[in-house]
Amino acid sequence: MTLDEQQEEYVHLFSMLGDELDRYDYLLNRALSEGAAFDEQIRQDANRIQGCQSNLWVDITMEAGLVKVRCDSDALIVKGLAGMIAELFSGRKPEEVLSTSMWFLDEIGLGQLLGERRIGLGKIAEEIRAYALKQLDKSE
Amino acid sequence: MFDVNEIRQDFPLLAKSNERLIYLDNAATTQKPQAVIDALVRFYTEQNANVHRGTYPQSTEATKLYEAARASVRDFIGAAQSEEIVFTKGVTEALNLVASSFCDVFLKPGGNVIATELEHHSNLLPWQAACWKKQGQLRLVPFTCEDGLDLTAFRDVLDEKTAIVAITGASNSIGIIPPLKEVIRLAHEKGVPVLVDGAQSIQHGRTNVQELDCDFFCFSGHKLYGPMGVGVLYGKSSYMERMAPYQSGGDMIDRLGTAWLDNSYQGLPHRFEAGTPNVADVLGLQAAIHYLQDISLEGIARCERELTAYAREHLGKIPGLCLFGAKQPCVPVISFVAEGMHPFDISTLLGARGIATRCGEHCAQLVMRRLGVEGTVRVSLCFYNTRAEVDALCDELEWILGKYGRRAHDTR
Repeated sequence: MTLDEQQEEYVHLFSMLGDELDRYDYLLNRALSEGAAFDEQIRQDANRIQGCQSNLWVDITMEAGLVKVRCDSDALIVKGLAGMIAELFSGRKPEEVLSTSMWFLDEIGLGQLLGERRIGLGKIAEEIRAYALKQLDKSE
Repeated sequence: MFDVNEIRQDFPLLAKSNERLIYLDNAATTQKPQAVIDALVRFYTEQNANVHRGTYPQSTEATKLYEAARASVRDFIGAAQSEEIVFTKGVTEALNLVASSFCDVFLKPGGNVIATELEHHSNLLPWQAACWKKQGQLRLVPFTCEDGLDLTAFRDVLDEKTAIVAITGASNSIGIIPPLKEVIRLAHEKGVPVLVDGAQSIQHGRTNVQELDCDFFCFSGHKLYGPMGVGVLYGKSSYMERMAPYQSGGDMIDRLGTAWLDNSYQGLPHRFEAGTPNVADVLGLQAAIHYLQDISLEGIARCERELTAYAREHLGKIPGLCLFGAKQPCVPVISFVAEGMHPFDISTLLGARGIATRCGEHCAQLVMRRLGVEGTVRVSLCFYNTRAEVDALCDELEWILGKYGRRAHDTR
């Protein structure tokens, strides 16, 4: 599935979820289903994305030539959304990561909340793209 | 006592909302009564002209209205003279004005400014900047929820080099009201002036700056049921007359000299109101003041006290909820955390259920550090809120914590 196809799938999923509360319910359950994914490796200061309302961490590595993203947050709704972003970009080549933008957050009916700069989700995509760019520079 | 259902009809946003809106974010901004909205519309439809020095009736009338609003503010806070009332954009600008203009003259290198850990960042950062510029020291007085502000610590840091004490009238994050009279008395014993940040206190009862004997007092219009973008700085003329202008521009200059130091400036309050003032919003603020006076500030205070006690009692019964600030005199601001659930999740879910609250640090990182939390959920009530709304809040919180709280706790 391409990046765009995966994002269309997310949008479709959220369109099936009914009202705002159902969407948050999905995100909370998604975060909770990761269980005790509390991972000290991810929750490091170096991985922290500066935000105001909750902590958000992103760990980006390369495995066998593919980008691997892991995210965590102490707020479950943010963790759920960050997990979707991690899933979206993981397992892709750096070229593909850079091939299109991340747009699904604007289309899943949580616009007002996600427009808040204080959540920091947009920054995850920026960091992933910056990381991918660095990998390409290295390989050239 | 007024009828809250009738009162709510005065607020179009509360009365006409189609979707459920339980507005419990009044410490961030209050809703506006129709009287305020009418004053804004009236100014632009019937009265608009620039104030001061106009030679035609429309302008002199606008000037008269603007200066009458100043007199209304003077009476509202019990100031001695209209000249001591300066209109600003809000509390933030008022605090920056005093920190800059006062400290320019009165803060000496090696001197200090005292603030408290209860402050909003707006009442810390301007002083921090002033202290940095003048090689002064910013001293902070600690607090606890159990005992309130530490007056012993305050006495210890107050000395002959203290230029000013800046203290909140009530904490925006946890509602605690510090012992202002005692702080002012102790400061005055050493000849030190006191500024009170009234952003979170002015709307909850009668304020009299002369009885309080503070030297500066400020508040924002939009937290007092008035428009956004207007606020008030009160300052005793004995200090204000010796302070340098804050901003330069039209209306604040008397005679323009050939160099900066040759200028002479207008007297109070115009020296501190450079440029065209925000006349419409000042008139809106006046309308808000009249509206509150008509209801009675004593009635508002009584109603809010009862509602806050009710809310604290019922929120306190919810398992897993930890309320802050309950042991001290408080304004109707209730901050809490829940076991296992992040404030952001709680506040967002409440929002999806039509209940407006706020979460995070509330621009008060010192308070959060003292409480040992990264943030709280803040519920801020006012006289148009009802017991039924508090009940709905409690029901939703119980539902949220019941559905997610335990599982969230187990995954941590």
